[in-house]
Amino acid sequence: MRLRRGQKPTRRLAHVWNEANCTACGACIIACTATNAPEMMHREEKGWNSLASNIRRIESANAQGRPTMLLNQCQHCEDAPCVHTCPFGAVYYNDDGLVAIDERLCIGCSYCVAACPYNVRWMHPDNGLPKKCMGQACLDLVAANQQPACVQACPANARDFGDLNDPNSSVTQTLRRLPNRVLLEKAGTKPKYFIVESAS
Amino acid sequence: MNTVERKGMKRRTFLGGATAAGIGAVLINKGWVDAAGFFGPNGVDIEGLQQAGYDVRHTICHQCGAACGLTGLVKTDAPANGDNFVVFGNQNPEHPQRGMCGRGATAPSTWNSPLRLKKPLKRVGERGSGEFEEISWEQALDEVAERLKGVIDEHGVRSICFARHNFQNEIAWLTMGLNAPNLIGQASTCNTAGVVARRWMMGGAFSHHAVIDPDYDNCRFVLLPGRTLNAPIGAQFRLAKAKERGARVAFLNPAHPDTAYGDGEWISCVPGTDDVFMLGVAKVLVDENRYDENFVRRYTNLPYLIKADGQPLSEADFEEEGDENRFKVFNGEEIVDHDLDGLVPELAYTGSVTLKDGSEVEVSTAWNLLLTHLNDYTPQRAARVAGVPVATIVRIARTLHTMDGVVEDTWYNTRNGNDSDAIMALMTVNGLLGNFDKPGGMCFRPGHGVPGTLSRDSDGTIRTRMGRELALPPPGRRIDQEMFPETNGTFEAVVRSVVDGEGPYPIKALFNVDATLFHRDPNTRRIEEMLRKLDLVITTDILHQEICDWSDYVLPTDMFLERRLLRGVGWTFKPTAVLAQAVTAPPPDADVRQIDWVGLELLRRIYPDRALSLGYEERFHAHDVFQDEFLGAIEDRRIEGLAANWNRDPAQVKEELLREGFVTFRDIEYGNVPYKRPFASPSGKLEIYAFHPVRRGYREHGFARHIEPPAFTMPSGRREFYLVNGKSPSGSSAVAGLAFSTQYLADNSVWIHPDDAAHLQISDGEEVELEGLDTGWVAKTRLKVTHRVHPGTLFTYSYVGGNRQRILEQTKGFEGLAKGINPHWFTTGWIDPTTGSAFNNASVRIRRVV
Repeated sequence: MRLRRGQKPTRRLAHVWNEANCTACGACIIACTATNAPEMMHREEKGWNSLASNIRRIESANAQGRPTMLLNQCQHCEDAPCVHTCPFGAVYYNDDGLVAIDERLCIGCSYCVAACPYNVRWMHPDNGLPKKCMGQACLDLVAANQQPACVQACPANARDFGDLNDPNSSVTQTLRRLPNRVLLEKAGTKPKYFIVESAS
Repeated sequence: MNTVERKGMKRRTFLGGATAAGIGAVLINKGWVDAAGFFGPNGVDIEGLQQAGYDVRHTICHQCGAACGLTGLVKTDAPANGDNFVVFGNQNPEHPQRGMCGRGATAPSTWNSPLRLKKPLKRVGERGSGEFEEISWEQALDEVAERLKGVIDEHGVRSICFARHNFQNEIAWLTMGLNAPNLIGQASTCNTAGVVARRWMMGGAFSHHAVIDPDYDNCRFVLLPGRTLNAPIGAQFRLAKAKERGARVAFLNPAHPDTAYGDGEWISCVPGTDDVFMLGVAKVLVDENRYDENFVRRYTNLPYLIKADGQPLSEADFEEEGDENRFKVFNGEEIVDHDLDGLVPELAYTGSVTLKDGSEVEVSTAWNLLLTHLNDYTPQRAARVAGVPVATIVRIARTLHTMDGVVEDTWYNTRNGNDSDAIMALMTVNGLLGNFDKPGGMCFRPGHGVPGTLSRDSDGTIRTRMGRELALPPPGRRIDQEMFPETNGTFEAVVRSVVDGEGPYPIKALFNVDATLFHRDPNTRRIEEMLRKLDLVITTDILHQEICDWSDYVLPTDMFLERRLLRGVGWTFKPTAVLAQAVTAPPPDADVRQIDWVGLELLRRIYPDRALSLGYEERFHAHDVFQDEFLGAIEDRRIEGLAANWNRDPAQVKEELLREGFVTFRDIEYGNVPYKRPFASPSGKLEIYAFHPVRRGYREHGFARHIEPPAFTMPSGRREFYLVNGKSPSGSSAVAGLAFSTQYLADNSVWIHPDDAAHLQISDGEEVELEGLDTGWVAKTRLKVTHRVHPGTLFTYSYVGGNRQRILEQTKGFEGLAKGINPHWFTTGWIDPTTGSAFNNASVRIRRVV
């Protein structure tokens, strides 16, 4: 359900990615496409020259030259520039604290694409509308009290999803127990995509 | 635990708990909302699900060779159009090898891939042209059988070579029925180096790469030289759990493995130097007294006496009829037989003995010789050769010792031509650590007890599981074994036979059983030359691989989602059988068949009496009848044998196999090998000094040593590089390598280190020309500047680039699979003359494209 201005979500659902457990196998990326955009399984996402997934793998190196890898996706910010920017009210917070897109209101102007500091959207070639985590199928999963496709697919215990408001949820407990960070914290977007930095 | 309780528990929980959601994506994505009601917080109502028209079918993944446990949910009344099923990792945490990686995730898109072979093809253009006409199965089988019969009549059955990677059991109906000796596994570019090294050090029963492995469930520190561990995925899952308990992992590799992203240390090294790195570690262990002396004295052959000529001292040196496998050791007072009860021989001894011919020779324990041998492998020298810091070698040695660590024994390990020494060196380190068959140590896979389908008596008689017999003489040795006696499968023997006229007899026909020659065998130019010269080339496969373009006939086969299979599970210490069910029918326009059926149909056309003797009756010509009745009866009989082996009720075993997809017959048992059950080596010990190659004259001494990679010209100068390759968990396999997603998730560029790029003034993404130093092959490719590769080295993922089949030009969206390079364009075809091992690495020169 769409939140009204100033209304607090009943849940604060968040993604957790444990980079220390992730083996970069790609199962989550493929599962995302297969679940949320199955029509794109044999089609290129030309904007990123990539598979049409809401998760993107970004390789880099740290200051010491050691290889690093980031799985990037929508951060479901609690102060999301995309929500503020959309001229049509198509991007909104739902009562689970997730950032969602109402395609009935969206005209594909791409303002949200430009506004997002995490650069996570892709444009669907069939309707020209932006796509991101979570896709409709994963939102349906969450509504059915299920985990998103990426969490289900991960073979290495590297992904989790749950309610930050629930002190007993696995994500809350993991974040309490293990060192973690968010991306672009100083941007002030209050992201809810947490990167856990240690397996134990 | 009684059976009823176990059955009840699993029935409710195999998809339950935290992973009940595993099925959720299925329901939503497919719109199977009516199934949702059968999923609850306490598990799944399977019977309700079935009554509603859904079925849970367990299977095992064949997107690579690791055979991980998957599960399919299928809507039973829906047409097989791709919307009728989904697959996901088997959710039962008791499954010893479950899970789905990026390759497994491509299975549904393989099923309906535009590259899927759907009809038998007959070549109409030149070999390599990729020009075919579709023909019926009857025509294909009639013509292939006639051509095979012609080759047999003119040159004998041994002139036909069957090449395979998997599916040796499925094609055995044909190869055994024809009495063809040459069914050659493509092992030489995969595991041969390791298999031979393990056989030399531990004996044949311990040679297979899945027989010995770290106990990941309980490991504390694992060093993986040249192994990425991106398969099997169950091992990764267990390692992830161990890491949550504090376990550490390090990878020794010229290229950064994807798995190392997961909090693993990457030790970047020069290609072909694993051996010297491990011997440097061994040197530290010995010098710092960080070895298990009790294990070394009791369970390795380091106390054994070695003569000055490098041969082991044995009873045969003293007595005319003496046993050469009764070795001699020093007990502190005198030289005695090695196998005396309770004997704990001395490690350090040098003396002289008088042999039966009256000559006096000096003997030393292998331990003393090892100390001298390791003087050549100081950490300083090892570091210099391997291109790693001295401190890293010392630290790894100390970590292995203090954390009760182990060194993984590799799988896909033939890379540079000196790879058997690398495996021997790492097993030397494991021997010094003595961490065998203990929690967290190197442990041994027990037999799973799954009976085979066909067997052969020593007199050549073939027996089926159904009790049928076919009397034929022994077929003789394979041609690769004639040329490379130690090998477990060297396809290059066929290339040499056809191209060079080498070997004991000529090969005239090649039958590829889902075997992708171009991505697996070295020196593409020679492979092409071989294919041009052969009288007949036949290929079975599920996708249009490059080898198809060179085949006279292409026979489309089914994929794992469409067939049943009973087998044992590899890479587990719990004896386990799995029964893979067909998740779905083939796509409606795919007229594909099972390999067993293809083989028997060909056999009945060539030798009807033999097919009949094997139980293949006329009614089985109908493919579905064959699957249900012929193979079904054999499966039942095998399950009966399996149950008998574990003293279980066959009906119960079958029911559990169908319900869960697997049956584990007992838990892991530690403390057996080598404490109660000896190794199968000549001495019964872990032979750190390998006796077999010394006795055969392959080596002057039995220790692992470092030699420069002999398989290719060493690079020199700033423009010359090692070219190494490895596997991506997102696409590196023959099947997944042709998945659409592989173009994007398994990078097909060639990696270069930033320092090298700077020297050559090459920027990220720039296109360059690579020229093989040995083969002269020239190819353009895109370079990726990354810290993920060692300086002086180029890296590319195997299987994901350089596909040249014509169909890619005609298949929209799949053109990217042709980009990149196939590393075997640059490899020479050099074969280790003693092990039969080939290699996958090469050396190239970079030229900028103007």
